[in-house]
Order: sequence, then C-alpha cells, then structure tokens
Amino acid sequence: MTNLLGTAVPRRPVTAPRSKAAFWAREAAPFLIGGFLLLVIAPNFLSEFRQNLLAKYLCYAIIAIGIDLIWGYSGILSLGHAVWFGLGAYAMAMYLKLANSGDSIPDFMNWSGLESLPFWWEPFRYAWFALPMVIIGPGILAFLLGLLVFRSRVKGAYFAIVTQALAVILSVFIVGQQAYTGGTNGITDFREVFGMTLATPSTQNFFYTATVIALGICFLIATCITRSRFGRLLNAIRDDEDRVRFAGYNVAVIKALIFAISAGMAGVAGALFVPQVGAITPSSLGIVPSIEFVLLVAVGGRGTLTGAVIGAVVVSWARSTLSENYPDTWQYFYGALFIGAVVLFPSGIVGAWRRLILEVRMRLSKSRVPAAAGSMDVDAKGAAGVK
Amino acid sequence: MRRGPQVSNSAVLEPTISEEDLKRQVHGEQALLWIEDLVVSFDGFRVLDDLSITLFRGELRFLIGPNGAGKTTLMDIISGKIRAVSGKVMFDTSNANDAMGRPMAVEIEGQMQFNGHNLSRMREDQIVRAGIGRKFQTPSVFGSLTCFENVEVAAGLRDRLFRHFFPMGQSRRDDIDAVLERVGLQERRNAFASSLSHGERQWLEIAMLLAQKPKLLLLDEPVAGMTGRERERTGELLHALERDHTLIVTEHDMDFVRQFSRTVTVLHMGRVLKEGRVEEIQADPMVQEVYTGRSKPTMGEH
Repeated sequence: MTNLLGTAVPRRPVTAPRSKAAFWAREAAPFLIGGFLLLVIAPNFLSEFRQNLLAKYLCYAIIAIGIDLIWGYSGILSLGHAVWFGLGAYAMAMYLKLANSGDSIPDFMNWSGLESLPFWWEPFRYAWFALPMVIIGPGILAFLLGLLVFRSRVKGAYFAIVTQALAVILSVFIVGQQAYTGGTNGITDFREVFGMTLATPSTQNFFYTATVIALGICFLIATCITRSRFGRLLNAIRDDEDRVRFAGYNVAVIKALIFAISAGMAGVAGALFVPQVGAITPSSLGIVPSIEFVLLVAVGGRGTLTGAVIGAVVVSWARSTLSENYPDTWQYFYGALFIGAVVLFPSGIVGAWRRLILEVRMRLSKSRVPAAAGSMDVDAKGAAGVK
Repeated sequence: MRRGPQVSNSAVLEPTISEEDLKRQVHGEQALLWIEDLVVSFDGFRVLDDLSITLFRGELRFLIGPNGAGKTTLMDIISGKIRAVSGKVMFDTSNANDAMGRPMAVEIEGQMQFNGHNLSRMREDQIVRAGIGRKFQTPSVFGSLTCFENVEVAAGLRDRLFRHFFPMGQSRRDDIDAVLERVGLQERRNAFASSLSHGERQWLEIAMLLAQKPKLLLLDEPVAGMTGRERERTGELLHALERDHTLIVTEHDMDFVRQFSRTVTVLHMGRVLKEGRVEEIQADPMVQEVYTGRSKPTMGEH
C-alpha cells in the first residue's frame, strides 16, 4: 500500500536542536506566509469571482490536511472521504435551508408531498445544534466506523474498498430519499445566511475569511498532532502496525481517533463549502470526488502539511484553468496531470522541492550527490555526537 | 486464521482459582510464568503437544530444538498472537509495589469461563502492558523514526491516550537515554532506524523492549545475522538483564547457547524433550538423536 500513488515525503534528518527562535521561525513560517498571501494579497489582487474560487480551493485544502493526517502520516488510505465532507455540508445545508424556509417546510419536501418536517430535521433549525454537528457528526460516525473496521484488522486496500462502499451507499441513499434529502438536486437555493444576503460581496468576503481562519486552525491542529508523541505513534503505525500492537498499544483506537479527527476536518470543509458554492448535491460526496481529494495530497506531497495545502490549491486551480480553456477535453489533461505528477514526482511537489534543495546543497558543498535520490536517510553522521 | 479452534468445555470457576492458589504455593512466589498441558494444533497437526513449562523470576532460559519443534509457536501463544486449543498459560503480574502485596495472576490462554464469558483471551497489547515483551525473529523497528523516537514510542505504552498529545517529562527522557545507553546506541540516538545495521536494529528492538519495563522478555533468535563481536555484546547484555528481568531466548546457534546459557529447554515435536544445563543437554543421547545423530548439534538454519 505504501507505494500506491507515490511515496511519502521523507522526514528531515534530525540534527542538533535548533535554537528556540529558529524553531519558532520555522513552525510559524507557513502561518505567516500563508496568512499574508491569503488575507492580504489575494483579496486585493483577485476578482470577486476568483476569490470565491480560491475559497473553494481552500475548503479542499482543509480536507487535504485531514487526508494527509491519515494517509501521509498514519498510512490509512481512505477513498471515501467525501462522505465526511458531504455530511458536514448537508448539516450546514439543512440549517441554511430551514433558515430560508421560514415557517414552511423546505420546497423540495413540498414537491415530494411531505406535509410536515421530518423529526430529524427539526434540530437543524438551530445554529447551536447544526454548527457543532458539522464536526461532531462526521467525527463520531467516523470513530465508530473506524473502531469497527480497524478492530477486525481490515487495512490497506481492503479498508480503502470499505470506505468506497460507504461513499456509494451514502450517495445512493441521498438520491433515493428525495423527499428527505432533496435527491439528485441536493439542497440549494439559499438566499440568506445568519441574516446576511448570500450573494453580496461582503457576505462572500466573510465566508472567505472564515475559510482561511478554519484552514489556519486545522493546519495548527495538524501541526500540533504531527509534532507530538501521538504523531510519532501514527508514523510507527504507518511503518509497522503489528509491531505497534506488540509494543502494547491498542492500534484500533488510535487509528479510529485519527480517522475521526480527519473526518471532522472534512466536515468543516463541507460546511464552509455550502454557503460559498450555494448548493450541495450527492455528486459531491461520491467516489470520484473522494479519489480527487486523495490525489490532491499525492500531488502536493504526502507526509507534509504544506504539501497537502499546496497540492489542493495547485490541483484545483489547474482544474479550473483547464476546464475554462478546454471545455471539451479538459478531463484528459486533468488525468494526464495526475499521472504525470505521480510518475515524475512520486513524493509530490514538496518532496521534489526538498530533493532539489538537498541536491543544490550537496553540489555546493562539493560532495557527491546521493545515489538513492528517493530516500533521505542522510541522518547519522551529522547527528552523531548530538546529546 | 488467527484464532485456532476453541474448546468450550466450561471449566468450573471455583476449582480453577483454588488450583491456581495451590500452584502458587507449590512454586512459592518464585514462579513468573507457568504453562500447563498446552496444546496447539494447526489443521489437526499438533504443533505443541501437552507442553508444560515453569519459569522462575530472574531466570534466563534458552529454548532450543530443531525446526518445527514449536519454539516460535510457544512465543506466539505467550504473546497472544495465536490461540491454543487447550491448556493454560498463567502469568504472575504481582510485584513488590502491589498495594495489597498479593500476587495477581493473569490468564493469557486457557479456557477460564465466567458467566458464560471467555475470560481467557487477552489482546496482544494487553499482554504487553501486563508485562510480557516480545522481540520477533526478524528485527522490526520503525524506520521513519529515530532511535530515540522508537524507544519513546515503546516507553509510552501505559500512558493514557491523551497524554500522547503532550510533551513527556524529563524523567522519561532520561529513562529513554538510559535504555539507549544500555544497549550501546546512545551515539546513534538521532539516526533514523532505517539507516541502522542489522545488529543495531536488533539492539534497538531490545532497547524498545526494555523501555516497556517488562517482567518477561521473549527474544526470538536475538543474535541471528550478527557478527561475532555483536553476538558477544548481545550475550553480555542478556546476562546483564537477568535477575531484573526474566528472559526466554530461542536460539539456533549452539556456540552462542554454550557460551551464554544457564538452563536450556529442548523442544521436540511440541514437547519438552529435556531440561537442564547445556552440558547435560549435549551429553543426552536422546537430544543427540533428535539432531539426526550429530554429536555436536549445530542445527543452523541460516
């Protein structure tokens, strides 16, 4: 499973402990650079339309961070992550729909002949219920599913198939239950959000900023997780799950936990996606978007958080650009892009970048370029003697 | 596949307990692990056949025998990797720190029934936390972690899950460094485990075991693939570990066994053939016969 869709970006060698300042500078860099680009540069240089598109890309970036946590760091390949994205999106859409329907039931229920609101829609009237559900819903469901599946030691490709099945089941269910879910058309036609008119630039600006902040928070959480002992435990599980079990850990619970965190992030992304795109349909939570999400991480470089974000933005941008310029044939280019990226840069954009830096440094120090460019086990010599 | 056939003869709970107390009296407080009438079969073939072994605290026990004798299977049973058909594996978890001062035995394998529930099956990770550490035949360490981090993961096994999100204290760090020092990997502290030599990996894995603070260590061929000097060091390490720990070591290399063993148990066809000091073992005609007439059994499979 490790080599499917390329390899993870190798870790930097552990060298002498840097000074506190250098440590914080390195950890803060993505936040400062990203924040500057997204909050200062982008709003001033992008048109309203482009900014709205960027917000969408950033939603994908949030999902990509979650997928990187399970796939890049823990070796769990989920090919059904759009399910959690969809659950978050539908929770948000249900809230928005009810807020826009006033006292009557949502329009699609009317068309399907429903007389009254189904009881399980009722709590979604309230923001205090709907908004937490965006995270808690996918989180709890993913934890339970994860526990069930990981306990029976289903892993690798078999787990990926289970998640795919889940994606099919959910989208088929939503299409089938038109009266309750809006069917193929999904839930759409929102005019107002939190008392603001949705279509105005200021509202879109609000959601753009909210998305950037959510991305920052998810990035921060993921950074803390991957730098913690728990992060090392995840790495250990990726390397050799059975060995972790024989090191005295209940692997199923750990995997289920990180799977739930990842699903919660996807849920947040879904909730932010809905008001900015204006609709959620079952086609956004099927298998195809799920695979696309994984590819975002593969192209960016799995095993690094910046890689996930860069991959999400670059691939989504390429997708938009290709589909605008080649309306008929863009999908071929899009597919070729993925194949090319995985073949040429097996450890993604960030992996290729790090290798380039490494090579330049090697050249500069006039030593030989390492023969195995794929691995970065440069560790050792420099590390010996370090307390 | 993992679970072997299960005999569900509902043993009565009452006598089981008193029987254990009896056993404890027989062995004094000295017995750490006792195995009785253990039967393991794969597809009807009895890999372990009414095997009984008692292991005392602080003992270094070598387990030898020809291929297929059941050495690794026995370790699999003790560490919970596979299931027995019948028999009993009891592990005493008591230590001096026990508040009650009363020995507690954990049943790893067996058929203890209580209210219709089978209490006997402990998960692998529970067994490890109860104090049985295992090193597998092929060294398995976490390649993408440094030596220090490998031991760090191993040392955290009894922490609550949320503790893993927070930094660990200095005393834990010192513990980890001490363990690395002990196996001689302090110099390689920050090296990724994937870059270690074969021998170093074996030591790192032993370091990981030590960090678990186990009472019983199961080492499956710890010197396989090591150079002469490395074997020597490993043997010395084993001797340094006994008393504080109880060890079971399987080994094919008779030179190593001769040099470092105390008590040797010879397994053959899933049974204990002979138990004693290495000289007695080698002089035994039955053991010699098992090793196809070789007067000086070398039985290497590598």
